[in-house]
Amino acid sequence: MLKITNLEKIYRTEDIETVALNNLSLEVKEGEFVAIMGPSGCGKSTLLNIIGLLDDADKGSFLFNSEEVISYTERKRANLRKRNIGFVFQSFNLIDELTVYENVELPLLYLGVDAAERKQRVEAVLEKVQIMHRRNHFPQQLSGGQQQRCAVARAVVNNPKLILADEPTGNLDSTNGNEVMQLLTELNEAGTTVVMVTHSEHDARFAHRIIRLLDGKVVMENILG
Amino acid sequence: MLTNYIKIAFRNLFRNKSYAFINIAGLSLGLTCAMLIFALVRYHFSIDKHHSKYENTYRIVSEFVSREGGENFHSPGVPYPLGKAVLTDYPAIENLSMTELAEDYFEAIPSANGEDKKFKETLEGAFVEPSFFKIFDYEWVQGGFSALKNPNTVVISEKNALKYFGSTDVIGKIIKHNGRLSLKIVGVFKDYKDNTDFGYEVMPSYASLKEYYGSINDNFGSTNSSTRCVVSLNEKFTKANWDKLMPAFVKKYRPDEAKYIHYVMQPLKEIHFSEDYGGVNKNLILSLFAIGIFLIITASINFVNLATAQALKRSKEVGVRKVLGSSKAQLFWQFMAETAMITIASLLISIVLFQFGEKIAREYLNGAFKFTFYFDASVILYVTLIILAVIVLSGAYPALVLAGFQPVMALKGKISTQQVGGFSVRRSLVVVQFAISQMLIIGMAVVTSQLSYFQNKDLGFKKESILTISLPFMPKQDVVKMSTFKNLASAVPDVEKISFSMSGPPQSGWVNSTSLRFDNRAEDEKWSTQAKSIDANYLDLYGIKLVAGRNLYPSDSIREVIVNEAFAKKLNFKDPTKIIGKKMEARGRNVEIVGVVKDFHQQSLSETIEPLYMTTLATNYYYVNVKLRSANFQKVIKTLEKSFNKVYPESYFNHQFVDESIQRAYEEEETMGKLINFFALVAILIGCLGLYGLVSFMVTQKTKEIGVRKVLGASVGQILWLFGKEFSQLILLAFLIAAPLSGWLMHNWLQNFAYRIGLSVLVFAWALMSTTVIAMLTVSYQAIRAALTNPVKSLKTE
Repeated sequence: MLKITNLEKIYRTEDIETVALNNLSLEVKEGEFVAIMGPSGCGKSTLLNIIGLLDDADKGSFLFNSEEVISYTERKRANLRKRNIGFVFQSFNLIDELTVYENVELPLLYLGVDAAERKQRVEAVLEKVQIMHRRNHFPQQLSGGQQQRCAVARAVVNNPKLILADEPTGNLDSTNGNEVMQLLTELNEAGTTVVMVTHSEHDARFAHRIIRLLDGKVVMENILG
Repeated sequence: MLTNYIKIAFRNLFRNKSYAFINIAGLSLGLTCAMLIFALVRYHFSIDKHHSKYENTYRIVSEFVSREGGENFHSPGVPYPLGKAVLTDYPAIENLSMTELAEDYFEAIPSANGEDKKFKETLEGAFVEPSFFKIFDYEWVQGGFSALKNPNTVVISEKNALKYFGSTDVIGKIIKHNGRLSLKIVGVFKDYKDNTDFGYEVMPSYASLKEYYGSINDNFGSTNSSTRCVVSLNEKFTKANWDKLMPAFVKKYRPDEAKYIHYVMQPLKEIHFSEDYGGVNKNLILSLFAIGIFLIITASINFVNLATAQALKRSKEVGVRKVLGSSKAQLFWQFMAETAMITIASLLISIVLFQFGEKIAREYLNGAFKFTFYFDASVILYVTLIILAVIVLSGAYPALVLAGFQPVMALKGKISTQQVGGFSVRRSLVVVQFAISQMLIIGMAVVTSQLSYFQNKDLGFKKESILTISLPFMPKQDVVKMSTFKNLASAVPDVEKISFSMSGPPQSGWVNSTSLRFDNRAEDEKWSTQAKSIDANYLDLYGIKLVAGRNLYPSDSIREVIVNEAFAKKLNFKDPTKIIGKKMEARGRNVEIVGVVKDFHQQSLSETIEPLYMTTLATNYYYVNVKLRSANFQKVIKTLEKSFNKVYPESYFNHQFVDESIQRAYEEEETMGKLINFFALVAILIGCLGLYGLVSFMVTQKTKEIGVRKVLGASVGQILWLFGKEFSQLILLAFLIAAPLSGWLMHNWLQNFAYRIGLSVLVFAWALMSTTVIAMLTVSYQAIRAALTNPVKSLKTE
């Protein structure tokens, strides 16, 4: 599904060059659950952003479903993103002024889904993550676990092929963290590809494969049983 | 999607109530004032446009070419026989009507018990010919204009018919113009719209004029500014024809002065703004228009400043939306839609405020500027244009900034102030706001000081506790009645002095100019002199001083004259005593100059003091001047009214105080002053609102800096100076823009007045100081709060 070859990303300020990704190559197959690990500053998040088409690389190739997307325009990226990719963030990134229901509905709005179908899909996914009873609450009124479940619901409501999770349990206690990991696993089992950045060995064990980065390079891969 | 935008916009407004309040309050205020101004401007630019012959209507006016190469003299009037002569010589002219303005008149309605009901009219009336109604569009409720060709007929407005008779069914009824001239009503017309310079409440037939005046000066030699001529033209006779034929016409009727007189056809569309002929100062209206635009700009600047300052708070939302697939364009329109919502909310508020504003303005402006709001398609167009302008002006920049955020940065909260346009954009916008406020403050100070200069300038005569009473208008005053009234009035204990004169107080709107034959010279002087008829008590009553010779001896006829210093100077008498004993012609009689009075202002301070002679001529007096001992004025006036009605039962007691009537000459300036004061205050208020909002955001941004500085030992004063320094620089910069610009504008405005103040440094210092103080007061609350915050707390927020 994803094929990355010789990817390079350099951040430049006036007199400092920071190499975030250094000739990095990796591949993710459809239906896989991959965890990316490594110390702070190793390039995990940069990689995830590039995969999520939020950031662009300086060099290299990135095939998304066998299509080269590295030179896509902003508009094409937005289009690809909203149809194929769901995001889950460490800090949830829910919009504070929208209710749970409205937050989850947002991706469907950008997809132009009609109202009746939106209602049905949003409600279905809220049931699935078990926060239907909180549908009219605002994010600040929810616990961290509930917020993250809402974020997961938002990520999957448009049935993306790929879910990108950036430290999804980083702001949660272990009970809530486990629930979220359980959710991701279920989604993966239903066929969605998941790529997750994490610091937690515990969480990584939910994945099929762990890719370890250091200084912008893949240094080790563990395939889990 | 739209509902989502609206929802989030609403929730954002509720969440940031102060932000919403500042924006909506500032914008509604700006919009209200702008709409008031535009209504006023629109009124002035819509004058008479509703007449179907607007494009083809002209007024014939007189232009007297100066014989000394100075400024030409303009009069909206023409000689009485001009109309007839033009029609006789050029019968191809489509329509022509002579009109004679009637101001300050009353109508008497005979009633069953024999006593007339009298109605004093404040709006103009005019004697007109029937063709007046072929030129201007009037609608008829009863009768029509055709019978107006006969003497002793009149047409009146619906409103006046109701006022006089309580009904519009009044054809054939009689009214007495000024209590003297009997007129039969032959038509009642629908009340005209007041955006016209040719609207009259009462229109007697022009054919009645002979009876009214007794005799008419039926020659081309005299021009009265109230005697006017309007025409409508078609292709058979055009303005170009007139321009070609006019010199020959003048030569035919005024052979001696053909070179010095032009009868100009002035298009209707130029009449309203023709200052030479008593029209409205167009620059004044345009300045107001500019102020209206300024107010909208100021309010829009608030918007931009607050929205960009607030952008940081919205960065997460932008990031999330982008991640979820929103395009840049979608985000741009989302934020534009928010601006549109705020703008439309403000518009709704300002429409309500406008209703009050219009009422207040109408009362406050006292009709000096007419101000009528006609609702039609063009109003909707105006408002739509303003709204669109505001939305684009204030929405586009913040929306572009917000929509342009990098999603990754936005999500991480790494959007810096630089990315939201930095402080430099907001800084320059604040400078613009300050500059606008300062310009208005300077304008306000200059107009106010010029007005107080007018009020306090010694006019060369006394004006306190003096009452003038109009005598009934008659071709020749009845000298016996005058002396009867004088005797009655003198008997009133609080009446100190009494004098008769032609034009009331020394300074009145009534100027009588005539040519001068001095010292039996072979021909007239090349300049004209003003003339007044006064009695022997006049100088004493008004405290006008003699510099040479003596006062006039009491007389009812022309016996001798006194002149002013300007008169003597114009004839090159450096020593005024030397002119005493010289002869001059006054009203056809060769009489002696017996005295020279110290110059006084016989016209408003916009004009210089012109040469003037004064003589006795009792039949020519139209005013009684009464000096009162300071006491119960109202009681004295009541007594005088009784005496007046005894002597002139058919007339109407019309009185005013001299100081008040002189004040009225500066109505236009006063209104301008009031308007500038008001709008300057609004501009400052809007600016303050914005400044307050901006400082709140600045404080949030500087929380960490303030904390660190305090930990390192900065005092509260030093922290305050962080803000003070910032804003002092901006104010100073604004001043550098505002001072020269407004200095230049106000210098030009002052040129309108012959007697004026100089532009003093103090005015500019005052503008600088007041903006500084106001800005500091606005900033201080937030700044002091920030400076007093415990550094532990402010650093924790990081």
